[in-house]
Amino acid sequence: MSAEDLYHAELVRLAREGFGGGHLDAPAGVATLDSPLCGDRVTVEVRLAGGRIEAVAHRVLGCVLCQASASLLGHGATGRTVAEVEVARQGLAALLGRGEPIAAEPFGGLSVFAPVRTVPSRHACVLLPFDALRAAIAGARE
Amino acid sequence: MSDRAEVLRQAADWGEGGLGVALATVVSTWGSAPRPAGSHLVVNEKGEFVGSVSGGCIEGAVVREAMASIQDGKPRLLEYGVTHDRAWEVGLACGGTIQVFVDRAGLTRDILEALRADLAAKRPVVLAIDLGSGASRLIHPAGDAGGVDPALLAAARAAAEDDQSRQVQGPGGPVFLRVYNQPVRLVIVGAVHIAQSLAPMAQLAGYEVVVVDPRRAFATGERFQGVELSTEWPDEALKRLGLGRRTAVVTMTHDPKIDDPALAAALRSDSFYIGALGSKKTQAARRQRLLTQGFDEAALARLHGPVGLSIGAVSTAEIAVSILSELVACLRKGSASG
Repeated sequence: MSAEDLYHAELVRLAREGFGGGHLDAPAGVATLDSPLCGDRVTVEVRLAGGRIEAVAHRVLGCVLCQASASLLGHGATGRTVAEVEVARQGLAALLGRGEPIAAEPFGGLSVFAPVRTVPSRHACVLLPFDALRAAIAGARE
Repeated sequence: MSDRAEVLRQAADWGEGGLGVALATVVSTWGSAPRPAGSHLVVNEKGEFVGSVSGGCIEGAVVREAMASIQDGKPRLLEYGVTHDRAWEVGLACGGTIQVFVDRAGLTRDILEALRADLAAKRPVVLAIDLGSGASRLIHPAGDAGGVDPALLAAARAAAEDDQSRQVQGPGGPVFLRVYNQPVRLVIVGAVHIAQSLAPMAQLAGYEVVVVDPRRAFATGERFQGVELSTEWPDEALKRLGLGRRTAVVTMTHDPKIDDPALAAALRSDSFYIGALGSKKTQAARRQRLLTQGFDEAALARLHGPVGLSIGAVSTAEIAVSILSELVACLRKGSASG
């Protein structure tokens, strides 16, 4: 099995698990973002406490990449600081855009998206849930 | 306006508005490709687009590549197909493979203007795109083509004759020949209610429509907005319009004095589709009249009557669909059977 096959299997697993899918009771911030070329649509709800993510939930209408990315968020974002979310978002963008290895892994598992680097038209699918989380945080009240 | 003219108009408008524009063209297809060779997608620097190179499967990826080409000025030859079905791959669900050439440089304002002028004047023209450099030029298959490599000119003429855009080997590498022939023309004889449905539908399908009816009360601009009208008698009108391999004629008046001369003219021509509205009983009488005019059974076999595919059409619009479907089958498959 090639490295790409392994990555693919992990992406499919993540998408299928759908960690963090659903709604929050009384979210402090909500954001919906979409990708006009793909149609992917992600809604992220978040609650914050003391600069950390207390709870996060998402709903994804999109492709496997978008689902896997949201699932990774749902699995790892709780308890992380807002700054760590930024680090993860930037690391992911650098991995996709320039092929830089993931240095810090506040969420764990971001490297699974490495093969997407060669397909620029799919980068947005991976980043969309992170951007939605960022937007939800920006609009949230603690 | 036809699909192809609309795409070129949009490219010209964006260019005049100062926007960077790239043209994406399907240059090869294998297997069940969604769009034929020659299909265009025009993209501007903001990512807005018209036309298509697939059924939507790869448009997103091609739009991105086009925007990148506008940025760096370099042409790109892209290939899409279904390979491993991995999550990150961009491909065609249908199992086909297509090559798409994306370029900003080749479609200069001069070429775009000249191409649009040719289409407006109904002059057949071939857009030759060098797939190495992206450089484009227009070749007129009917005219003298000064400075064109003789082999390339012959290939362009053959492509125009076959009405098939295709890739050929040019003097300096692969060249894609995009054929712009005069559109298929549909002459509708009888400015009747069904014609009011058929004319705009045929225009949507990219055909040029002329409605002929000497009864001026029927052939009015109010009843046929945006459609070329003629109140000549059909034999005069058809003589003036000239019928050929890329012409279809459908008669709809039910009145022998108007329909029969049109059908006679059509049967004497190479028209690829000849149809006559009317019941089986009407058709039997019509055949009899045409036989006495000297047409034999072989000639009358070209006449589709009752006109249209048997799809149980009831409303005028549905009958127009059945006629248009039969016309398409004759154009693309050579016959409506099977």
